[in-house]
Amino acid sequence: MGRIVIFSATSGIARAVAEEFLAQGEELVLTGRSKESLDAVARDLQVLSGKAIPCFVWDVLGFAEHERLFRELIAVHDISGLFMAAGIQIPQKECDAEPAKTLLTFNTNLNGPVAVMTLFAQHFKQTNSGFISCVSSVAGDRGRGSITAYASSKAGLSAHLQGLANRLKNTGVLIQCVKPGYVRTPMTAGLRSLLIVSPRWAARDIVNAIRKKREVVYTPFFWKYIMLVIRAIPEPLFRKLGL
Amino acid sequence: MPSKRTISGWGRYPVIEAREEFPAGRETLSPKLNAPYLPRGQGRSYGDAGLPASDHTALNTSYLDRFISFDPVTGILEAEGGVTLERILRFSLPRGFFLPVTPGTMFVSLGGALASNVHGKNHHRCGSIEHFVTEFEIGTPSGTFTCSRESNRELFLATLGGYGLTGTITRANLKLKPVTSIQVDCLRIRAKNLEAMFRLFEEHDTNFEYSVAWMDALAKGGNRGRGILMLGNHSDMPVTGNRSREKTKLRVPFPMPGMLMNNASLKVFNTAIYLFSRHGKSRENFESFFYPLDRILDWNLLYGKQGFLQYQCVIPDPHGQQGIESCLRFLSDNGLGSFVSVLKRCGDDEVMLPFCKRGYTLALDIPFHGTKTLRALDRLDALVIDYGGRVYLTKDARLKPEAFRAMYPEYKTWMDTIRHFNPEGKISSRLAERLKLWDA
Repeated sequence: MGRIVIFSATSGIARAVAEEFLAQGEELVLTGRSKESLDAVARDLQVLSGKAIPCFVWDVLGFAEHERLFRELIAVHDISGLFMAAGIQIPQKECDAEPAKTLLTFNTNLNGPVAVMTLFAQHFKQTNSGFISCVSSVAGDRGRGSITAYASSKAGLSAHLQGLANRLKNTGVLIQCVKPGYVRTPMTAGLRSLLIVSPRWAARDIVNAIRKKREVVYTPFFWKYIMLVIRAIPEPLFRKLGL
Repeated sequence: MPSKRTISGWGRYPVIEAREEFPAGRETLSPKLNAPYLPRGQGRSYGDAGLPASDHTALNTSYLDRFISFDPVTGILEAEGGVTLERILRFSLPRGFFLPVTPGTMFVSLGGALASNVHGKNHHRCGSIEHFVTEFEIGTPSGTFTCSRESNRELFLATLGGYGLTGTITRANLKLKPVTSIQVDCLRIRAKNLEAMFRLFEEHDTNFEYSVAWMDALAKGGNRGRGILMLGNHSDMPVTGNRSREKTKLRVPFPMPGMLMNNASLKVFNTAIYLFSRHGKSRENFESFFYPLDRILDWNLLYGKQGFLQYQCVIPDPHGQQGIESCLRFLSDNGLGSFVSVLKRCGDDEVMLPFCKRGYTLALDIPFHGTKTLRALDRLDALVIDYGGRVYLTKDARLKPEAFRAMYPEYKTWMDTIRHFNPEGKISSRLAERLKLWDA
């Protein structure tokens, strides 16, 4: 049994998912941009699980390095799955003021993850096994005025995952698109909502869904119905709601 | 720079506008420590101890929540300051360890617990959390220090029970307590009045590690001080299948109408609890024994928009019993209701600004009805001062500077140490402003 790569392991959801995987007896490799933060997360998981956890510095924005790092990783470890959690949310106001921030949003949420996942997808396709579970967002289900850049980057990511799942449908590879609602992580820091849940809640849903080989996961589950309604609202009315 | 938002303590009074930042991990912390700020954990202190002073930013430690090491032989857990007691318990219970001291909620941060030098139902036996902290690291405006009883002792003793004013606790070592079971053998005894209650405390405190009494603060005359004494010891039935099942939690969705908590409803509620609650022996899960209120998330919203005031005082021996009786008499004479009133025997704290003194401590939840309530509590302060007692600052939102100085004669030494490490008040809270600590 191989190791699961947790990509951007310092993110709130990734940490909880890593914890959940470890509780199920899985072996992990953590990747992320900052060695210091990565080591701190690895230590935390090591205290929890009693297992040493290898870390691998890998920046989702380092496009020129992806292929080399991927080769290095698979040369050392037998990889059985990828959990992709890279993502960023910059307030839309800042994106409007500085086009570079819109670009950063797309590079972090869409281009980077897609580049990395392409490498893993090819690898898993050859071995006819493995899974890719990637954190998208309920925000990607409809274009939104208030968070245009974030929502559209996640929409692109969801569409990419859907396409990848279609392409690999007759293989043993699972491609999963995770659409979380509000989860209490550094990304949503300070957000007050009755609908907000702990990262552990989301992590359990995700790990269960991987076991059940589900291709789209809303977490918590009720977002599936909320988004069903939101998608069904006619555009003129949606515009008035100013979401 | 994040925009301002409204924040408050658990009592929802006062509510202020402040900036709040959420650094992710202790390695990202240092640049944030340059601007005026106040470390803030889970916002569970009741009053304004966790609220930043004007023009200060709240530095929320929610994401400084990682474990660093654990030694199963000594039981010493090393963790970042923002980790919650809930996360610690989730980790430690399956390994046969419990918190050496725990407040009435597990939803507080470790750093916050240290800053408040929290006490629990076992204070009469082993004191506050100070005794189980072997070491911590703290970022102060004068640099970062590793503190223990042996090194940087002054800073160690000024930070424990120091309400965040010395700096940000980035990591701490806590000595956990081995237990064989997640269950508690309890004994509940009904006391028909205060005299009977004190007798029960004296009779049983030595045989039980945990003791606390719930009281009907509204009962008058011969019933004054009636209540139920709850005693407990860790059960010695081994921890098996040790992952405790998580109970479903209820949540108060929004602030209830303020009228919900009036003297009539408090009276009915308190009488009903006294008459109908269980008594005798039982074996309980740790959650229902230590954290009954954690079952209802956001229970502070029950008090409505105007919030509530916690008033916890300690009256030292030899006048502990007499002082508590006077406090209760004062409450009922002045029509001050308390939804939940708790009495406990305690020992001496040994930090620089100690709250607990050998004697009795009384904690009250008082619905907030504006200046009327504030004035009455000022008079209660005077009474507490007469008995040589003091009020717990973690729960306080309204104590006057003069009253504080009369209650805490040690404050000068404490403030001298704080000034040494935080000379310009770069770290400051509403509590510090209100008590005029920087003028002292």
